[in-house]
Amino acid sequence: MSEFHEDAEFKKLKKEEFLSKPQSFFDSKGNADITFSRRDILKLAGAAAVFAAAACARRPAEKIVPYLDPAEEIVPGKAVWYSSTSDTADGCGILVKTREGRPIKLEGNPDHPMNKGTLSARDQAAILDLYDPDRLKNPVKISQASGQILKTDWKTADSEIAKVLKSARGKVVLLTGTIHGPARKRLIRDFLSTFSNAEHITFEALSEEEILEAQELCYGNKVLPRYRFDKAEVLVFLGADPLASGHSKTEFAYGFGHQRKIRDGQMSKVISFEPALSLTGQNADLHYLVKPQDLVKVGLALAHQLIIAENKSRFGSDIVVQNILKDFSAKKVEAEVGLPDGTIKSVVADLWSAKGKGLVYTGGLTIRDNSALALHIVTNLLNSVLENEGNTIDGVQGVSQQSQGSYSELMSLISDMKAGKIEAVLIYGNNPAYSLPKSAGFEEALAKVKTKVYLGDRVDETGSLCDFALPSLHFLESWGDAEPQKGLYSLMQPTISSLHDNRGWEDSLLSLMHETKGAGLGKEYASWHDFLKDTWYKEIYLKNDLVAGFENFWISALRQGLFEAVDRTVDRNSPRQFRTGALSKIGKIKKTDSKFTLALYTPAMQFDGRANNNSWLLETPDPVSKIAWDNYVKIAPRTAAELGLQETDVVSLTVNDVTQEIPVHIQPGTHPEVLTVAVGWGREKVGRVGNKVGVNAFRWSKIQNGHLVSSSLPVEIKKTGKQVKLANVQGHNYIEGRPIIYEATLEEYQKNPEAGHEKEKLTSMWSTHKYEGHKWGMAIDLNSCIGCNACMLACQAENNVPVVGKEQVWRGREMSWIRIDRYYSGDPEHPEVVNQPMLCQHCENAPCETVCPVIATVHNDEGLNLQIYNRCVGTRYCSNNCPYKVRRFNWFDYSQDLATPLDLVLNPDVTVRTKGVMEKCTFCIQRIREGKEKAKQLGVKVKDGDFKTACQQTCPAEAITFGDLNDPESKVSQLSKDPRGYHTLEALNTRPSIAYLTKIRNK
Amino acid sequence: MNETEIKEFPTVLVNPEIKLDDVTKDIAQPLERKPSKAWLILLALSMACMGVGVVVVYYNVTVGLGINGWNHPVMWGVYITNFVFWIGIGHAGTLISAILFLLRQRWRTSINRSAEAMTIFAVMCAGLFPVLHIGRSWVAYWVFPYPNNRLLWVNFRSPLVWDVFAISTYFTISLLFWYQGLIPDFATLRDKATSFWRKKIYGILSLGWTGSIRDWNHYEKAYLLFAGLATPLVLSVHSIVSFDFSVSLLPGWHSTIFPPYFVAGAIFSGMAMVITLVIPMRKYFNLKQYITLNHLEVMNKVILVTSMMVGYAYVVEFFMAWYSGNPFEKSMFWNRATGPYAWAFWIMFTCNVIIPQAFWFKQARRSLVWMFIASIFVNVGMWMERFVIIVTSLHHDFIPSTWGYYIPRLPDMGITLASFGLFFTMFLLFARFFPTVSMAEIKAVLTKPFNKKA
Repeated sequence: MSEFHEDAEFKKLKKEEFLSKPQSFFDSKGNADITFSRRDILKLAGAAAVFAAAACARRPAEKIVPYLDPAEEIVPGKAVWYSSTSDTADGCGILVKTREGRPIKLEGNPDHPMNKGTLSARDQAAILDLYDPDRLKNPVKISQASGQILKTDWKTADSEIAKVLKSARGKVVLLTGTIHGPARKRLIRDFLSTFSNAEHITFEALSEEEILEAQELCYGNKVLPRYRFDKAEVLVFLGADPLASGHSKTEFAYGFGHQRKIRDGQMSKVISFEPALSLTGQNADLHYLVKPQDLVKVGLALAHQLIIAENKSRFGSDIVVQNILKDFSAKKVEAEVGLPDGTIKSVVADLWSAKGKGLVYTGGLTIRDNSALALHIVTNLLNSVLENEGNTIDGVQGVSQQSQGSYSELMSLISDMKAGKIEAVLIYGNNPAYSLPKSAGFEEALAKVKTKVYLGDRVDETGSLCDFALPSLHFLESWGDAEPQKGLYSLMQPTISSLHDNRGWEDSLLSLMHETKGAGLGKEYASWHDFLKDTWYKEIYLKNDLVAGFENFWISALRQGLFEAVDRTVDRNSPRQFRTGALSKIGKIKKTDSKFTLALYTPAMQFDGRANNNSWLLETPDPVSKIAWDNYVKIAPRTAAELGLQETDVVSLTVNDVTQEIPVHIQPGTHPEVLTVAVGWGREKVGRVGNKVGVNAFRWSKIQNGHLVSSSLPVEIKKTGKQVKLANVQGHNYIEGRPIIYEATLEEYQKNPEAGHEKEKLTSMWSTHKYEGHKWGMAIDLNSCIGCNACMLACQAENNVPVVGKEQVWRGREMSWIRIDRYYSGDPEHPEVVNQPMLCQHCENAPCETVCPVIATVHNDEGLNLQIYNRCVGTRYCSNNCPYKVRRFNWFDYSQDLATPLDLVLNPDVTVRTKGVMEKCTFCIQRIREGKEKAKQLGVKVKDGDFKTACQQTCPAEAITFGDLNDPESKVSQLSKDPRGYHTLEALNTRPSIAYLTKIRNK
Repeated sequence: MNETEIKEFPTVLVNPEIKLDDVTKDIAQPLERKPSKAWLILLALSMACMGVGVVVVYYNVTVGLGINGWNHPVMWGVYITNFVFWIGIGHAGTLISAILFLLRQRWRTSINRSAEAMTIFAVMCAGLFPVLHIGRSWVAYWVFPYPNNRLLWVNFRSPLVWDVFAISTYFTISLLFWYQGLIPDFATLRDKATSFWRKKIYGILSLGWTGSIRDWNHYEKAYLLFAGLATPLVLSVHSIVSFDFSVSLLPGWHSTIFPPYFVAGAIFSGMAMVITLVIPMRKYFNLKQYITLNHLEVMNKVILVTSMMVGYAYVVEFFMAWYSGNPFEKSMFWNRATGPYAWAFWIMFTCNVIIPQAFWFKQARRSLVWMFIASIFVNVGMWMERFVIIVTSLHHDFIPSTWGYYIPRLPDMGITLASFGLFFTMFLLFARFFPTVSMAEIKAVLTKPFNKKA
């Protein structure tokens, strides 16, 4: 952190503990305004002594640490921002906001070409992990015999492990998650070369390895392409949910949202075939329910229609293609899989009309059955025929490295371990003991390894099976790098010194290398930081012709957080040739006999469960079911009725001889023969928050021929007669025809931009209030909002919104200031979905304000509805009178429940609310103030976009626009005047400051 | 003495055989004897119930309101139900003492004292709830517009502030009115007292009453003035309490019918509560000759009338919801009668509208058992009415995604029990230490006050 601040001057000053020459000190900063004479110093010293003496009597023995030796960049009350990179596999660029030396908020790096300043819900929540009280605070030794966890120190641990590694006769294996930073990759190479027999194995529970395999078969290179959602006008999803769980979900969401916006009366068209409503599926214009095992048939039917029936491609004359496709005519498949007649034809027509600007996408857990590879191959064929390959699919220029790892490598490791071939294993970044089915035999295999070192940050399911846990740092405490897509390098820099006696896993590897090689040998790098810098010099700086010196390059890379070796604005992408030979891999499509099949899916919030001690993530409801704090089996309404199941009934599911009990959630938009369960729950050893929350659905998966099978699993379902509470935050799923959300089809919109809603003619006895200066307002585009919950987490981090726990959420006492209301319409078996972010509407005629007896909620002259916490007595009348029900009450003293050091995450600019007071969205008034003060200091007017609310800032789909409604040029005032703009419950004449834009469906 | 029917009622109000000294003897008698076992047990029971409330309040203050059943969106529940319920109970007393006084309904004399006492205690119970239900009850005084150096003021647009004024005024006037009526009786007790402390205490309470013509002259004038002052308050308090709901824009609350509907309901429930209290009281304190069946019958007639008024209000609300065409209102009322809270609605409707119809029959009006049971049902029904209004309107309002369900939890029930405990504690103490029937007024309505010397 102090890297580029630690100039020579500073270092010198740092050494002088007592600044004997204050004059020169102040002068040295070159600040002409502050000049202290000797006398002033004496005066100040005298005053200080008096105050110190006066305070002596009452000051308890708590030791306070003054800024005797202040870090130069820390000004109390002023935020300092650092660029960094998210530690997740997708590697988004982030900016870290620190206050008084502690990180308090993450935001997307606007310069980063992938996420462009936005951030996903999971990345927003990552800051809480830094302060997780359940992280290890020092290295530990775990006795496998007794299960005891003993504290140790780094020196002992290093030397003990090194001793084993040095004498290792068998193989040394480093098992990691996805790693793509050049320095990290080089470190691993160096580490492996230290030993005569060492191997690096990458394993991710949720990798997209079938995409890579299919790419190799179809195009000859094993790459994960960069999918250009931002260029796709017609998107067809085959069982995939890229917006929630794609390998580059923020980038996808950004591109997707961009294309959903209406430009010149046009917008993208989204068609989804999937077994159960997903986040992506609920944003589709056309949504078809198809069993996972039938998806490949749908793909083949699309290909048949395109290639054979309509003869749009030269492949039509290819015998191989003809043979493969001949049995999959549109009619036949539609009848087989239960699609309405003509579906395939119309989808093909849509795709063909957007030739080269469409995208057929598949992936994720839900499609991973025996036909997953076949489905990927067909998808590639479709994309090639539709000329999307080379346009919206980039397999050449900026290919992705965001998902690595393979089950087959892991399985061979397991068999090696079982055979006793492995002497030592070091594990970082994955948790196989949790995410593998028991049948994989990981635990027994690991027990056969002599020395097991875990480099994660806690003794979790895998950690507890190891001999040592060398706790790694949180990415906000450590150096690191990433290369999520080829040529796009980014850096991680520490924004706080390590909270505990922990050490980055990179440093651990380095010191193990040094220890193993012996003292004095190979100690070329003092630290991982030096190693990183050297790598960037050798592998990036030297390989790119750069004019600046390396130090300048390094500092600017740190400052910007990234370096682009390739100019991504120029499209140097080109289509690759499809190899029809790949189609032979499709083989025969097997049938499942079982009536019901189970499909696992990746939850948007929990992902693979790695951050399940993060209470923010656990309390954020699932974007589809709106249930927090649990997983459940999703069952179609029709099936539930057939089986006599009610919501919250507990059933036992038996798959692959594994039986677990799980509650039922009746999910509209689910295929009647498919049950779906989210993975990522049911952690056993993650910490006090996440232990035993939900059921571990990975246990139901199986590994077959080196592939994960997580779908089309024959399942037996049995009622247990038990019931549980499910913390569902959505009270009712239909809008009942109320003037809350308006929607229209694209056709209607093109005829009449005001389609879907009528403007109310509102009259008032009173003249409206005049807003002389600013009038803050917001516009929310329901077309762009994908309902991903990123805004909820950004708000939680920014505004110190407390977590209340499952029981309280079940009681309806969640505290979120912004929520996403999700409504269905139409047939519960095939509903259409609309999401509506709902937050304080900052009404001009605010019903809450008139009823408060103590004037604790008032309007200010900039149109904000303010809540004055220390005046509030808690009558709760305001909430009763709020038509939007956006006010939240502190039923308990939630802030008292924060375990140290979780309180460090609190934003000092926002009051922590006490029990008994009401709270609600403030339009991030602290950001407004900061922005206004900055403008005032600079003597300029506040410009549109100078500051953003936290929700707007993070929204990957850019659905939220905030600004000054009094400024006719501002984006928000233009959007509010858009013919699609309307106010929710307008007839109540509350005159909200938030305008929503009608949802347009392109169907 | 057995129940007797007074044929000449209301010209003859009490048993014509009663003489002046009988009045003093009969009414002061329960005050002068040792407390009975039954009384002591009842008092202990009531105070135990009150104790439950102390525990609940302790946890509400130290832990938070989260221990109760409130949620989002139902932020008001049992506490406010109790508040409105007790305010309603607190109506009959002043109605009987002030309005009936002005209307020259002399039959009020037998019951006005206990009805007024009931009013005072009910308003005290009611007054606790707005304080206890707020998030930070320790700063509840902020709702008063008192001068302070922080230049903070209250919001005169808020019905809650109107409540503060309405209830505190009502309480003050009712208390003074009641106390004034007690003065001549305190003097009688003082004069009858044998022990030193009794004499002293009743002496202080009687404010030096001599019973002179001047005293009586001032007394009568002041009584008339108080009656005049209290009469509009009877109407205003519950109207203002109803504004808490009708001023908001919540469907089910936002309704112009609320003030008369609430006042009628208040008189209805207040009368029922008087019946509930008076029946055992006249029995155990041997006051049957003063509070006769005729009195009870008149009150039952009032109950019948007000029952039909609230019944009309219930029905007309449904009609208006349909007639207005307002989708929110329509859905709200449909949900009220058929939704998750239909049970509460139908309990309310049965208790308040159907059961009192029995009072069309004279037998029912004069049957102690029947009227006691009916009065309990009316009390339950009126409690339910407030519950229905508050909870069913809140749980399904404008935005469907926020709809919820509210179930009172143990602390909610505990505090409700405690409010009854507080009420009965005070009423039992009142019955022991204060004359439960106005001796002075009864003496004025006796038919043949003097014993003819044989």
